[in-house]
Amino acid sequence: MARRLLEAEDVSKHFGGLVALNEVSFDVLEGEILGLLGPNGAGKTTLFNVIAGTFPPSSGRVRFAGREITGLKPYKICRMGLARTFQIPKPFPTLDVYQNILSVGMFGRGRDRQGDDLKRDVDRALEQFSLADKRSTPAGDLAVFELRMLEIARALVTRPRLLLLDEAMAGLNPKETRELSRIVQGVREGGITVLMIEHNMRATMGLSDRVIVLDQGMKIADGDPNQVCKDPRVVEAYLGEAYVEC
Amino acid sequence: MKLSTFARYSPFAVFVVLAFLPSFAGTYYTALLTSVLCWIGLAVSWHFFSGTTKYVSLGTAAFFGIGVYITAVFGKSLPFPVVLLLAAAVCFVFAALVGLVTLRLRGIYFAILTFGLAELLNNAILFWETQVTGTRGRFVASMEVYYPILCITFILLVVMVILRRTRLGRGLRMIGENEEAAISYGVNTTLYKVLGFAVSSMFMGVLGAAFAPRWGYIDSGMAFSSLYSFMPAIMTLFGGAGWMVGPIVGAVVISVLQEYLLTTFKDYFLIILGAIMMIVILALPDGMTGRLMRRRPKAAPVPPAGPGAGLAAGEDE
Repeated sequence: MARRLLEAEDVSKHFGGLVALNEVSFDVLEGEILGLLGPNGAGKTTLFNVIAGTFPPSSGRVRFAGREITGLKPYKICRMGLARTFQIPKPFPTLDVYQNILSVGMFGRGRDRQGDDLKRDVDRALEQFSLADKRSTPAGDLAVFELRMLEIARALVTRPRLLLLDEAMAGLNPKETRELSRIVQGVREGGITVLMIEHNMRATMGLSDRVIVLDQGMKIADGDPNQVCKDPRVVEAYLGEAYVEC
Repeated sequence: MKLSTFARYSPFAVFVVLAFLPSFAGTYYTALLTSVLCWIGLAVSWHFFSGTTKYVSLGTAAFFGIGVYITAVFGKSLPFPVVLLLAAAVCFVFAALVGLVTLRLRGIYFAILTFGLAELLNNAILFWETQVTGTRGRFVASMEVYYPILCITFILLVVMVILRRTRLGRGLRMIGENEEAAISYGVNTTLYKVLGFAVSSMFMGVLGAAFAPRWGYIDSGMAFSSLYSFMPAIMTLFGGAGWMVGPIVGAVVISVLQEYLLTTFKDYFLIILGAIMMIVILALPDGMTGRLMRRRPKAAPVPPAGPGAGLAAGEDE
């Protein structure tokens, strides 16, 4: 069995009286693409924020690559090799696309690489994410799909071992969704483990090796995508909506 | 983005010209030039931290004033360069401490707190002088400060240009662009903000210490005048905060304009200055250099062709 790269153990998060996460436990195995599904408000992004260190969990522990990261600051977690994207992209708006990627490359896990290596990595990322002709465009002027691409390119230039994607496909058309799927597969083939939040089940089914489903802050399913989507609790959580059919 | 040889060496040429200028210009123009250089230094220091991170500090007077007072107190007992270094060290440490406490505040709260800092120091010193020592202000050994100010401002500009390319400069820029993204992608935002604020304040203190001997006598109201807090911010906005040339242009234009208006229309100069500023800010929201910078797009590099590019593009297949 593959090594466990990320381990979440009984993670809970309360905001005042609201229980956003209720004792969620799961593992991410090295080299897999794990889908994190659930209806709106299920706690998916909260879970990402706890893992990435945006805020600490109310209780529970998170381990990454065998080291405890519970409550560490986001920049430290990023330097250990865990990079995330944001559901609403957070570009550096007045920096151009090249500078967006280059600046991030000076930090993160790959912070000690030489200047020329970094520039080569940035150029490669521009090619890989079809941003080469937008190189000198301020990130604030990009279209939605380009912003998503930039978001992933920036996360990858930190040289992560685990990439967290937060609804990278939301609002994209079918062609763009296909291109993004291809990129996510390419990322995994490059040796990077992927944990992706998707609101829409169908979009992730073909892509994920395994999925877990959250509902109202609790994990209600964990396993093979084809089995999970037949799970009555999952169907109920999605109110039997059409996209559960798969 | 390599600077051309001309752009790289022209600042040194300007420095040499400025170094010889007092021999030709009269006392009045030398004094004016000293003020302009000092304002450039303050505006660029302010821009280094507040312009890039968007944490607007109105505390420039606090650090400038500390510098002034250090010269007033130690100027007679210590050699001048030592006094300057002392001002640098005190302001760096003091700003780092203040930053640790205040830099979790954002927006208007940070501005108000830093503004209060200068007022606090002003009043604390005033209290000490009137209640404890029974004096008001201090005499400063008067001397010509053109060369110290010129050297400090020049060093400051060189240091700022270099720092912008380092991790500190990049990190500060990322914080100003999107702080949450910056911290998520590995920037130790607390450390960088404190360090950036301390470096910026350090130069303000040195400028204060170097400027003090121009006045034979100083008091806390002069040293901590809120003018020093507001002007660098206004000059940067006026010149354009996007690029380092912005604060320089703003400082030159506003300080020269102020001097001209003050000597020509001495009763109405503030009204006229205010009106001009309003017009410029309304007409050019990105400052005087903002539009210029946008008109000059960087040359799009030729896309790398050949087998290397194909390989890179094909990597995710």
